[in-house]
Amino acid sequence: MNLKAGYFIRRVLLLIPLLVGLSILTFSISRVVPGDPVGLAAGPQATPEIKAALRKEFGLDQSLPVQYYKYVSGLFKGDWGQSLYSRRDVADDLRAFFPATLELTLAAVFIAAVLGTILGVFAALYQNRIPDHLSRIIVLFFVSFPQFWLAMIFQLIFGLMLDWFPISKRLDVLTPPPERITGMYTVDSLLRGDLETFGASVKHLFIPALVLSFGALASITRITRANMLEALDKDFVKMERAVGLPEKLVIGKYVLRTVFIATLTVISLEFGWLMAGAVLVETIFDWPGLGLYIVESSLRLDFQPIMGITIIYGIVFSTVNIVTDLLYGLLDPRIRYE
Amino acid sequence: MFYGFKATSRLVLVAIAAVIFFAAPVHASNILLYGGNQDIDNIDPATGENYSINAALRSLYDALFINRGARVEPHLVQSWEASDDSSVWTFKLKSGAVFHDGSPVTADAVVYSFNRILEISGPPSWRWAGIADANTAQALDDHTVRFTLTQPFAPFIGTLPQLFVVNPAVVEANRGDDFGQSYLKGTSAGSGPFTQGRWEIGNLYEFKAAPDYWAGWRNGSHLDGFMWIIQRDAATQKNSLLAGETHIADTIAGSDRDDVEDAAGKVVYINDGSMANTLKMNNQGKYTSDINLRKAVAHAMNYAALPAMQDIPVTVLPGPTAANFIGYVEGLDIPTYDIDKAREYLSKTPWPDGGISLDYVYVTDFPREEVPGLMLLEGLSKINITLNMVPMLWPDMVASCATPETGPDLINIYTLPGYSDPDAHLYNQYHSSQWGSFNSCSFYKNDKVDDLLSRARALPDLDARLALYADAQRQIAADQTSVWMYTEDAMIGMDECVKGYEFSPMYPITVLFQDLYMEGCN
Amino acid sequence: MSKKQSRSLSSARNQLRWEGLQRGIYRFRNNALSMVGLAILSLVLVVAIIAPFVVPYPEDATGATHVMERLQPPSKAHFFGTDKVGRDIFSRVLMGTGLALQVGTTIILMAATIGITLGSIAGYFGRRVDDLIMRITDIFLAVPALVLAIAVTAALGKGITNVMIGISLVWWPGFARLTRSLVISLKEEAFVEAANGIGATHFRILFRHILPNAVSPIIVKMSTDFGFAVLTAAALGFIGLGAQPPTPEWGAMINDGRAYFPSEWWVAVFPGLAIFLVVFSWNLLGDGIRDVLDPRSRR
Repeated sequence: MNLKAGYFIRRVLLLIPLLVGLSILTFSISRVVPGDPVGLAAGPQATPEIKAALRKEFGLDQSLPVQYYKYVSGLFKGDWGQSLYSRRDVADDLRAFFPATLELTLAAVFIAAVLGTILGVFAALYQNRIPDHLSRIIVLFFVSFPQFWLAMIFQLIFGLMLDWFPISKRLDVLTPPPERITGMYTVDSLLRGDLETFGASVKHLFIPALVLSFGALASITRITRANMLEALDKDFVKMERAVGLPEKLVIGKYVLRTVFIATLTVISLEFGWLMAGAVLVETIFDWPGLGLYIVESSLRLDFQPIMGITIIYGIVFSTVNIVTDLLYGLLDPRIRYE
Repeated sequence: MFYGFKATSRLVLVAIAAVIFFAAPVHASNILLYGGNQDIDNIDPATGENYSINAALRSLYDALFINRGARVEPHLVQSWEASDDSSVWTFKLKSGAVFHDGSPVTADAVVYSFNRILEISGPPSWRWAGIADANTAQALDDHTVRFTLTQPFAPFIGTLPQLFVVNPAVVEANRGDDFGQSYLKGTSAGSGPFTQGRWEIGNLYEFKAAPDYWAGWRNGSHLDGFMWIIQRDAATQKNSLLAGETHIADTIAGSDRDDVEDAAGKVVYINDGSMANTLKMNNQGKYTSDINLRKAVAHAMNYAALPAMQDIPVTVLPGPTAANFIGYVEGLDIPTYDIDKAREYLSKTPWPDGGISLDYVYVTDFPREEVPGLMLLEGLSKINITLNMVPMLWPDMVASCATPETGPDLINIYTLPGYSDPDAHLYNQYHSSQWGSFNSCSFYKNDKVDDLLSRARALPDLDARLALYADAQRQIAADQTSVWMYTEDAMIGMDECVKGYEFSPMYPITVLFQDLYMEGCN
Repeated sequence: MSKKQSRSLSSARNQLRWEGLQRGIYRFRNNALSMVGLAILSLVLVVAIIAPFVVPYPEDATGATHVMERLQPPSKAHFFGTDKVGRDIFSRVLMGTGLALQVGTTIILMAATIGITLGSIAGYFGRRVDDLIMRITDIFLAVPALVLAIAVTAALGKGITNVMIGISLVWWPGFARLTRSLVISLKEEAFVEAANGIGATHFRILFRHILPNAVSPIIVKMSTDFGFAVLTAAALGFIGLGAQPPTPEWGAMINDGRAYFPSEWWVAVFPGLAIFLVVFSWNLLGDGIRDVLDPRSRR
């Protein structure tokens, strides 16, 4: 147990150099920009005096190391800088946008895990037969579409033509969002016991999350299938089957658990992919999250938000990896950590 | 146990499904739902300025004057007078104007707000840069304020709708170390017709009618409030409007116009706008400093095809000023699409057979600027000039206009006059003192024009001023400083139940919410 | 063991490798899906090569505009309809094929080159070099590739070259990690050989003895990544960071079509289908290659 704790403490500590590196990377990218960032803040009619005043206000007249030092020390104080364009605090924006992306990504991971496991299990049970090939084609099919394009098509079919789902946003405009706890509307509305809002937010969430989930379907299916085949091949399973335990019980009780644990790692890796995919899906569904935010900021070369978003992505991504490892250890006691 | 669990979970699923599919949207009766193309990033009158921010500022704050239709009407002001040389302006304020916290709007508050804008010198301050300083505004008594400008400036009144008055007590209480900017960018401290409601960044903003608004409402009926819903896509805006999910769509694609007009109960208002599109040619550039080359380029643009090609209705410009704007000059000699003439002018340049390549800079991902470029590319290819399409991010474009050396050969620029006066768009585009801003990316310098424009802004008599502006424009046109393209017609889609709309060229994309009311909306 | 023996051992392994490959090709040919993928892809390649000579309006991909034919629906004259300036979408989609393949190939080759170089250095020399390289790799891997690619490309400026550079710069870490782990596992073996060999340089050991045995997994990764690279490039084009007009770049064409969707659906739909076709065929093919070169993944 001590060994385990030590391992995780080390993992968490390793996050620090990682984030420092990441902040240096993003800071360097932001300073490669050829244009004059102040032109953005100063507005269309800016005189040179206005620009000079702004350059001073944003600290852009100082040397790069000083700027970097100020930026990083600000990060710790919760001051993530200010958007040059909107003048809003990046930290406030991230607080508003991050839960939306997280909610979308979690929902997509959930859908992908469910669909992927089902497809993978079927493929394995009917190895090299029609269902196997079919599941293979299905996942390769959906992962091959540009997600932004598929999002447009789904929006058209399910939102406009069939009118089953809303076409954009997280809630109807006249439905006030649940009072904030996590910022994820589905979670908050449940916690507040507001079933109606919960229903409405799930309805808004479903299509974007479904489109997003396709990005992870292929690998989850593939790994589930492989793990399933391996598990079915294990001696004890063969034994159980030979003894004549009902097939359903064997699969349900022994095999699925093992398979799911093995698949967990892939699911967590996919989390990062999906969070990136959210960038594209959000722009189509007007989903006010990090993706929409980074696209708009990039097109304006508004680098303070871009730096903030990359760092947030880095933190989340690394945390998910650590948590997965931890879960993996809890679920499978045989795992040892060096 | 096992089956029990299964049954329960099935029940839960059914319940969830029921909730999901029967949760229908509720419509409040007198709240206007507005589909806005752009976020409202910031509501500080000293740092925010664009069409969406201004719409919010007009709603939350009051200014000395207000743009209503094409008129500038006194708003906080009761009466005013100006010195003969247009440099000293004295305003008497209405009594009875109160901030949302109940305190009166005084002359001191006006002075405070004006000085705050100057000191922060954010985007809105350009209007007063060079004509005002910290001593300009003085409160003579509670309800009298005097502006002593550092130099005569005839169109001063036109700038005052942007002077939104903040409540000094609230700002001082939240002053911080940045003159209250952190506070005011998200919280209003005004006296306007609306107050803030739900404020969801990047998503929607709710405005609620101020109870007992001091100025009263223009029309008998008024909105209980409105919601600015950010809808970035024209397609989304159209669909929402047609589905009855919004009452106004501020960005309708030209190709969708018929869909909206044909839909029952929907209407599209189209008005001559004042948003002008110009291709600036770098008058100091390697090739484009040659006037004959500039004329050749100007003759290679298929103007007549613009209205059909652009996805918004447009009116081709008859020169530097649109026909519907003050200061328009009739009968200027302006090029038409004529490849033979283009070739003739080209033959007078050092590159008589072409063979040169020009850069055309425009905003990335903005079809309205890309399309004219593609048209010019085709035209110029006929006289053996290559047009190199260079899409840039807007900040990079602005930066490239900093000096004549970095200025591109051709750059596509939109301009919107900040007030209703020729000075508002001629001075910043053609006066050589303005080099460095993107408005003057043609880097035009003509001493005669400089002199005319400087003199005109100081004269009190309008007719005398217009004569000077006409002279200046004749010279500007003769020099072919730019390719004058078109003004965009303003197109806004509405539910017919929305009443009280009056188009204003000062905010062509949006509306004056305080004048609107709804009749029979569901 | 003498040098001779070592060489013969090495050639014995080459022999083994060759037989493995033959078995693989056999398996590959028996994999119907991969064959379908290969067939589609061959077709795409042919289209990419002959497009300029066979499309009805090649000039529409290089700068022509047609006022009178804006936004025409699909018809005999325009199979895929026309776009906002009256250009034939069929011609543009076909003319864009070569570009899409070129972009995907360039990204993968650049990313693989950087990744393999850094990965083998890290794996071979170990210790501090390894630590340093892997920490840098970790930083790049800590942020999803698309997000970083957007930031890098925005900073470099719009344009197809910058898109390729931007994506390659964030794509190499995957290759670096893979190569490193392969090199580490092969190193021990190679060192024995090297110790007995005369005058074998690090360079020679790495390129002659280690990397050739690491080729299979790297090829698998290259083939499976290709589709994603094409999709990522299209995504940047869609966001508005891609090729400059009038280049017929598929992502940008979808972006163009967004304003007209769904009433003029053809503007966005056909370039999207084209992307799908290329990526789908590559994924089918990649799946087959994976089976061949990495048989454990499928039984």
